[in-house]
Amino acid sequence: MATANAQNEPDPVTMVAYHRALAEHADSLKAYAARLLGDAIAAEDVAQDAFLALYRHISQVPTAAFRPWLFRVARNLCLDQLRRRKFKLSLFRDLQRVDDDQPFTPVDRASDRPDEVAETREANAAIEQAIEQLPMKFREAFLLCEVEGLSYEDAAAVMGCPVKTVSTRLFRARARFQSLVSRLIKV
Amino acid sequence: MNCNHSHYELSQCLDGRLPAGRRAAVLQHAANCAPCGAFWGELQQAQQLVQRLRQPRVGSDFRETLFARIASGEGTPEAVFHEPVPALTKVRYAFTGAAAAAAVIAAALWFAPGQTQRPGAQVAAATNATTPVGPRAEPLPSVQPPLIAATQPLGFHLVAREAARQLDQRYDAAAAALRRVEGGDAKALPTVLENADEVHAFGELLLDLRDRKRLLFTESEIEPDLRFAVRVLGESQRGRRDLQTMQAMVAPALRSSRLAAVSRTIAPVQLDRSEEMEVLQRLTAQRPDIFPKLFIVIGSSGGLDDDFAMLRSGTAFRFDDDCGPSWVAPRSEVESREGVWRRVFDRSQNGAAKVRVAPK
Repeated sequence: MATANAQNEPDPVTMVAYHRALAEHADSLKAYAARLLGDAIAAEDVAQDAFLALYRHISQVPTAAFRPWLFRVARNLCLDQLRRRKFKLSLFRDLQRVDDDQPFTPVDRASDRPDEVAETREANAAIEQAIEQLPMKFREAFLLCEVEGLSYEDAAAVMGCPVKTVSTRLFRARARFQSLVSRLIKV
Repeated sequence: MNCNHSHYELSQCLDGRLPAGRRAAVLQHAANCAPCGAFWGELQQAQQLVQRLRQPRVGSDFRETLFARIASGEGTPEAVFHEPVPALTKVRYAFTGAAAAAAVIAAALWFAPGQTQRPGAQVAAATNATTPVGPRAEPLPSVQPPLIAATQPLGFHLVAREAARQLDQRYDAAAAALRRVEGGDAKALPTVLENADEVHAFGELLLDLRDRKRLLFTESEIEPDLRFAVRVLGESQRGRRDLQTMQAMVAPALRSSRLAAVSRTIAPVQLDRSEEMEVLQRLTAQRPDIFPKLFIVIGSSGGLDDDFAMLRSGTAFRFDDDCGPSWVAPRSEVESREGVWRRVFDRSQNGAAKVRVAPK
């Protein structure tokens, strides 16, 4: 861990923006990292490290760029972790086991019928599994644009590639995803 | 309108990335073209499915912990600004390293004491009698025909065939070790698991190519057997690496003897050069671990590694990247030739390693 940067407290206006980013993007960052790492606990650490880094470098980051900056940092942290693990990870494989209190699937409502609940859970598990099966580059584009709703430009900044590349990868990811969840699609 | 391009534009259309006029044209095409219309409907449906997913939430102490870390003066984690090295760059580094290693070996051979005649010295003496025979008078041995001269570009069908060949061999080895374990020889267990892992890796690659319609299986029974084996062996890697896992998962996965003959049942699809490159780049980028299991770098633009001079003509392939050409040979070919030839590792008096090959 690097030593602390000697920085002053950000001004109140910037701190308002920081708190707002915290409220709006912390969950998204955790979800993004969880789907890259397959580990919800590590994903929360990644999200926190990203916000810590933002605080330390807040004077260099325009307020409007907080979101792609945070995702970029989270991506770097995730790739660093994946590289360190040195083996193929299966995303989500252990997710439900280690994070039973934070399910990805919607919380079941009391009014829902048990068979519908079971069906929804099964469908969501199939969707998560389909995302897991996407190749890494396609998955990144898919997670950023389709799941998190980033623009192509922001996703390009996060992934460090041209906008056109994001567009192409997203298209391929969608086509692949469609084939993987075809049984759930009723046109 | 080309339907493939139409699909791409429909994807952009979903994100509002097309100008109004183009959007209208693409949607009009989708309305009149059944496959594109179906694709458009599925795109929208798939997006709705994704939007139904629930986001996990950060823990209730997320903020407190964060601000406690900030207050304690904790700095930015080092990995935050670390740019990951792309896999292709790593491959380039590997090739450069191989070239450097070849140069070092050549230099070691050149200057090793007691080495009275270097490779190629006889040829040089015969072709130019006036050339003084000395370390600095002759050029370093460069690319060696006919092995290098006869090379073809490395194509994806070679990758597929080599993966299938490796799978056959690893299956045989795993099955043999399995029989030993079942006969009471527990020491063969690591061999079973190691070869089963390789069967899994090569099978996964072949099935990926199959899913991408890059190859076909000419026998219909092979594909389900292979899918079953890959799925179960993949599961087995997450369990304990013990006898129980072997009996419960590895042994059933390797039950089909058809897996010993996968190489005879694959038919790679003809691809154009750009598609070939796409497959190869994807392989090296996404599975940097598997390429070295399939091909061994035997030389670069600096010359052929002497250690691989025993390879037959036509068994080396050219692999071009940003650093220039490299030559690779299928691992199965290298290993089979190593069975015919043996390496002699000789150490000279000053400890410099010399590597030669000699017939058995």
